[in-house]
Amino acid sequence: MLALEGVRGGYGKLEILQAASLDVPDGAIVGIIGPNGAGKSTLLKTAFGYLAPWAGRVVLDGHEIAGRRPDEIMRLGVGYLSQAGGLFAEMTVHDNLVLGGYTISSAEKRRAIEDVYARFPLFWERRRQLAGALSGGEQRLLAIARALIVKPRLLLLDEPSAALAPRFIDDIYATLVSLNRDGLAMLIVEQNVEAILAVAHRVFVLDLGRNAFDGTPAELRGSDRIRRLYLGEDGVEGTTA
Amino acid sequence: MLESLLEFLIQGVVLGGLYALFAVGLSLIFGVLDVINVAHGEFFAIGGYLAFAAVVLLHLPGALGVLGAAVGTFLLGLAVYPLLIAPLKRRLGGRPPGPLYLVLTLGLSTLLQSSLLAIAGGDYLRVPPQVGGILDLGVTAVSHQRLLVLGVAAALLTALFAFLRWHPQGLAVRAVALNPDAAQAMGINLPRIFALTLALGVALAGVGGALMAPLFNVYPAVGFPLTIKAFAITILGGMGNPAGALVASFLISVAESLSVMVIPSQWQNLIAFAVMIAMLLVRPRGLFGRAVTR
Repeated sequence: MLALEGVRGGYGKLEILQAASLDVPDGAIVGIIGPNGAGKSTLLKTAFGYLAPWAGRVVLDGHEIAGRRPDEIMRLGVGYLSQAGGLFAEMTVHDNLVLGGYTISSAEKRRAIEDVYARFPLFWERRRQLAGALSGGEQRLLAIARALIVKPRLLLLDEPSAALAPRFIDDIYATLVSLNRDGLAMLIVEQNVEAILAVAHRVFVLDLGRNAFDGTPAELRGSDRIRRLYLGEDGVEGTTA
Repeated sequence: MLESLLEFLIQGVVLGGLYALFAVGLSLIFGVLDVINVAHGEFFAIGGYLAFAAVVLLHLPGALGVLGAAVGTFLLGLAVYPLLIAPLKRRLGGRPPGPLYLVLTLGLSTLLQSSLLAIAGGDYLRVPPQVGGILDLGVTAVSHQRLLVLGVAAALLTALFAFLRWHPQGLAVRAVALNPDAAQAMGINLPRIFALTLALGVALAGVGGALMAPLFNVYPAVGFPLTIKAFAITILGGMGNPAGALVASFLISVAESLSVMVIPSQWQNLIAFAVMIAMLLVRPRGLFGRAVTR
């Protein structure tokens, strides 16, 4: 579905990605882990068009999309959730959902928002509140619900568990797994290694902008070298990598 | 004393309509594009010239002159982002623009003024009022033309705020002002919203120019002093906060109007700038902070 091939890129003159590659098959959950500064978020931003790659290819459904704007890539069926969720904190919950359906017809939007309210009654009760007044976990769920309004085929998520209490992390990942069962593919950058290894079909380890590992979570757990380098000596480095 | 107070208060409110029409657009543009549009006053002047062309040269009704000014300045405004700001933004890459947008719009201001001078000459042109007559309020009299300015300003600004609050494109404008990256992830085309916002902002100034043409004379630099005053108003209201600019427009206009009761009238114009300097020193974010969002 989505493939990045030998992508180089970064910010200004600072090269972060050095020929990084990965692919996301249809319907799969793919995780990207790695140390801080490895280029995980940069890779996601490059895939979604926030950053133009300096070299290499970004291919969606067989078509090159490098150089396209994020709104154009979004219209191809790709959703993006930034680390902070990207909610418009000073707008109401309802207005955030309306904006989620910016690219679809009013009738489709109305139906989709009703579906969100049916699935998350909390958001119906709080539809007139500012999104910024929700708790961190609720904001993350609202951001996911908003991204789903246009029924994307692929969701790019940058650290969906960041700064959340464990209870909310479980809720978020339960929601993501349920969405994946309905066929939604996901590319997830995550610092919480245990959380992503529990749900991913495939994992890429990125280090200094290069691929350091590519395999299933079981293969990753079975690799002594990767466990030592990126997960700590015994495979558990708290919850981060 | 009370009668004088009422008289100056009414005159201040009427003047506030013009200030609001001008400053709200300027503030909206800054809030969404982060561009201080020094050329805003030239769109006011162009509005006046378009009204002159429609009414005096083509003998069309005054209302068509105002409509022509709105459409003409809107279309000109649509071209400013793709032709001037977007290319500069592309050249800068991700680097901060510093004062470059300010210098760019200053250049546009000079270009437009010089063009108006070359095309229409420097003569002061008179446009007949769209409506004649005077309303006698007892304590004071207000010309119907000034009331028209206030009425049109009220209608247009109500429409603008309703657009920002409820229309999908208006929501998109607010979203871009809040978080352009997140707005793009919603499928919002940033260049289109930037161009639309700039066009809406300068069209408000253009309508103001057409409505004020019968009261002021029309000449190439007619809008420039208003631009400077609008800076003071937007700083008072909070840079990039159109609703704040609306309130500040009336605060400044009423303060200016009432000031003649206590200070000589030649000092009247200094009120706005004294307030601006005081705000910058004491509360640089203005009375209401920055927000195109509520």
